[in-house]
Amino acid sequence: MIAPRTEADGQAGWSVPVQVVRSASGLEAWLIEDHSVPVLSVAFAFAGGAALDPPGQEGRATLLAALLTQGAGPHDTAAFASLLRERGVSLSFEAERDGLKGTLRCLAEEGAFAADMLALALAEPRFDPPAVERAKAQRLITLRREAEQPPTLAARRWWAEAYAGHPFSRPTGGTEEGVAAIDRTALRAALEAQMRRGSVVVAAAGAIDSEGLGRLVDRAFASSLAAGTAAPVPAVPEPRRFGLAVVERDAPQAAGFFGHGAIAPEDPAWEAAQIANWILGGGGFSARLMTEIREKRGLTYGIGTSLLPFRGRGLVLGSVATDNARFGETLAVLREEWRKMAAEGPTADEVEAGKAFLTGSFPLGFTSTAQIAGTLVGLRQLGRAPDWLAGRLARLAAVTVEEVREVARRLFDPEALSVVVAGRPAL
Amino acid sequence: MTEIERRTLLGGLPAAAALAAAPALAAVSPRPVYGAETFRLANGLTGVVIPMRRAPVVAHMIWYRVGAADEPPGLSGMAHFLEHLMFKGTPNIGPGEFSRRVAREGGRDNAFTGHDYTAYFQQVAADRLELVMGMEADRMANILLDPKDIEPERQVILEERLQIVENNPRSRFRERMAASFYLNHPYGRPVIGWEHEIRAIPREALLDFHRRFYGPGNAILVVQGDVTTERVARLAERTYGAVPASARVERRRPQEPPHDGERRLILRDGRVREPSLARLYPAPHAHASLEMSDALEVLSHLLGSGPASLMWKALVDTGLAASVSAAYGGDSVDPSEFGLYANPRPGVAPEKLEGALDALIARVLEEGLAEVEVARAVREIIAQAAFARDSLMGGARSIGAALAVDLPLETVEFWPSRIAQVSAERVTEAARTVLRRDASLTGWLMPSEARA
Repeated sequence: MIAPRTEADGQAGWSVPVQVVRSASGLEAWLIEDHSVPVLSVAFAFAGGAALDPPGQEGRATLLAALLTQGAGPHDTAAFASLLRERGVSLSFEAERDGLKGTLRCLAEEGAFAADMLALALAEPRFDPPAVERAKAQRLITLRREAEQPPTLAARRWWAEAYAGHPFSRPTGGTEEGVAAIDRTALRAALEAQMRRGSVVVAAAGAIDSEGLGRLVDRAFASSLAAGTAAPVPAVPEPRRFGLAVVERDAPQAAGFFGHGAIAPEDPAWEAAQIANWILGGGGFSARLMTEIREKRGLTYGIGTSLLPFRGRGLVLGSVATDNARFGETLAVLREEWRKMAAEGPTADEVEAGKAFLTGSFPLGFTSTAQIAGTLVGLRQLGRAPDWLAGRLARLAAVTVEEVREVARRLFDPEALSVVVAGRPAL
Repeated sequence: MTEIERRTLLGGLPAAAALAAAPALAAVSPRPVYGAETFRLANGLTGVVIPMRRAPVVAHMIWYRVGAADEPPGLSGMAHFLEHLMFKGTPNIGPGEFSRRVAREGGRDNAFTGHDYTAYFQQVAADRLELVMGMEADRMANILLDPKDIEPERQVILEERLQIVENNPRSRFRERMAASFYLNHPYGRPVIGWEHEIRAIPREALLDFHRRFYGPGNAILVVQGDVTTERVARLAERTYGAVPASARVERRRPQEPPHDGERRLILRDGRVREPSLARLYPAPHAHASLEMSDALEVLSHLLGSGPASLMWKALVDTGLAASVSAAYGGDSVDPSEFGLYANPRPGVAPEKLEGALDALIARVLEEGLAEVEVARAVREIIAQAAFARDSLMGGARSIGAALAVDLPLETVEFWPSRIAQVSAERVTEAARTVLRRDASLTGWLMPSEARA
C-alpha cells in the first residue's frame, strides 16, 4: 500500500514500498498496491524486440506487437476489440529496440477477465491473413510518413551510423522491404523467439493485493507462454563516433539528433549522471542548452538531452530543430556547451537545483497505475533490485558537487559527440 | 481545432476525446465522475478542487477564457505569443525564473493555448501549492513584457511554427483544411498564427490583450490532487485574492454563415508519398444542444473508432483503407466541426476510397443506425469513465476545458449517465442533421504531381 499521510506531513512519511509477489506457478511480479481508485495496471516485458528481427525482416517485432491484439482464439479482430472495450479493458503491445512490452489496464473487478483475454492473445493469436495484410499496409504508410519528417530521418541515420553492423542500426519500426517480407510464419517465429515463460518480466500497480496479483499473473502467463527462455539480445557496444552526417532533404527547418555513449546504469555514479544530464540538457527550461540556445538566442523551439539506459550500456542522446540558415550557430553553441560542461562541470548551485528537482519530483512519477507499473517493469528490465526505488531519494541526497563534476567529465565528450542533421543546413 | 503547448506538442486530441477519458458499465449510476467541488472568490475567480490522494502531489491549473479565436483580425498567434511571454517575468520574478523556481521546488510546469482558452499548469508536491499559486497570481496581475524579451521569443515561435507545421506535411494539411473550412469564424486561423502575422504582433497589442482577458473574473482555477477544498480556498484567498477584481469577458466572435455548396481542397506536397483524405462537416456544439452533442459523440465512435466501427468495416476490411477515424468535440464556445478521416492503402485510387466513404454515409442516412450497434458504442464509451481518476491531471484538464468554454461542471461530472441514454433514433437524427454533403469540405493531401 502507498502509505497514507495527513496534510501536515507533506512528503515526509510517504513511500512506495514494492512488494515482490511469487505466484503459485513460480512467476515473480512486483507490485505497488494502491486502492485509491478501483483500477489496476499490469506491465510486462520480454527481452528481444527489434534486436531479434532477422536480417531482411526488419519490422517483425513491431508487426507482432500490432497483431497480438487483432484477434485471438475464436474472436476475429473486431470481436476481440469489442469484447475488451465493452468491459473497459485496454491491452496493447509495443516493440522496442531490445524488448517487447505489453500493458493491460482494467477495473479491479475485471482482473480475471482481462487476464484471460491476455492469455488468449499470447497463446492463440490468429494472425488472420487479412489482418496481417492490413497491419503490413498500415506499417508501410507509417514508415512513409515518418520519412516525410526530418527529426525521424535524423534519428534513424544516427542509429545507423553509430551501430553499423549491430541490430540497433536498424529502425525499430522496420523498413519497407523488411515489412513486405513478413508473413504469418515469420510472426509465429517472432513470438516463439522471445515470448517465453522463463523470460517474462511482470509488474503491477493499483487496486489488487499480492494474493490477487499472484492469481492474475498465473491466469495470464502460466499456460499461455511456451516454456524456456528467449534467445539473448546481443550486448550493446559503445556507439561508433562519426562526427557529422547530413541527410539532404528539402525542408524549411533542419532537425538535429546527437549523442554518444554514456556510463552504464549499473555504474555507481548513475544518480550523479542523472543530475549532470539534468543540468546540461535534461532539465527543460532549467537546462543550460535550453537557456543558451532557445532563451538567449531564439534559435529553437526546443532542445533536450536524455540518458538512455540499456543493460551494461548507457547513451546520452539529444535533439534540436533550427531553421536551415541558422543551424550552424545552434551546432556551434551545442558543441561549446558540451565542451564546457565536460571541462568545468556544473556549479554548486546547479547541482543543488538538480538534486532538488530530482528528489522533489519523485512522487510525480506515481500518479497513474499505468505509469507506476511501467516504471517497475523498466527497473526489472535493467535488473534493478526491488529496493532500488525506496533508496532513490537517499542516494540522490548523498551525491556531492564533486561527484557530479567528476561524472560530467566522464559523461560528456565533445570529441565523441556525433551529430546527424536532416534538412539543408548552413553549417 | 488544436491546442499547442509551450514546450512540446500535445496529441492534438479533440476536446471530446479528453472528456471521454473516464467508466464501468455498472457506473452508469448518476454519481459524479470526479466529485469536484467549487468555490468563488470576491474578485470573481472560480475555483474547482478534485481530491486525489494517491501521492502527496497536486496539479495546479489556471485557465483563462481567452484563446486564438479571440484575437483581433491581423494578429493571429497573439494568444499563444502572450502565453510564451508569461514566462518572461514580472517585477518580482525575473525572465525565465518562473520555470526554474518551479523545478527547484521539484515541480514541472508548462502551458498551452487553444482557440477558446489558454491554460498554465504546475505539478508539485502538495506542500508547495501556495508557492505556485502565488507566482501564478503574480503574473496574472503584473506582466512586464520587456521589449528585449519579446524579440528572441518571436524567433522561438517562428521556429516552433516551422517545427510543428511547415516541417510536417500532415500538420500543414490540417491547418489549411481548417482555414478553408471556416468561412467567417476565427476557428479557421491557426492557434500558432500565420507567419507574417506572428512577425507583426506589437507589444502594445499584447499588453492590451493581457489587460483585457487576464483577470480573476475571466479565469478558472483547478486543483487536483492531495488537497481539500477548504485548504485550496484558503490559499487562493491569500494569493489570487489579492488581485483586483475583474469582470468576465463576453466573447462575441464573427459567426459562420450557412455552408452552402460542397467544397474541395487538394494540397500537394513534394514530401508526401501516401495520400490522406479528410472530410469536415459543420456541427452544432454542446451549448446549442447537449442532446445533439452527445448523439454526435456516439456517432463519431460508431463511425470511426476501432475495428468494430462502420468505417472500418466499409473501408478497412474491404482493403481500401489502411486506417480510418472520426472526430467530434462539442465543448467549444462556438459551433465547430465533425470530421472523418481515412488513409488509402498503397495503390488504392483516391476516388475509389472517397466513393466508398460516400456510399457508406448514404447508407447510414438511408437506413439509420441499428440499436444493437449504438448500444455497443455506448457501452464502449462509458467503460472509459472508470479510468478518469487514474491520473494526476486528467480531471483538471477535462473540467478546466469545459468551464473555460462556459459549460457547467455537470456536463463533465455526469456524462456517462447522459451517454447511456443516447438511443439509435437520436444518433440517426444527428447523422441526418450533420452529414450533409452539400455543406462539407473534402480534402486530399497528395504527393506532388510529378510523383503522383
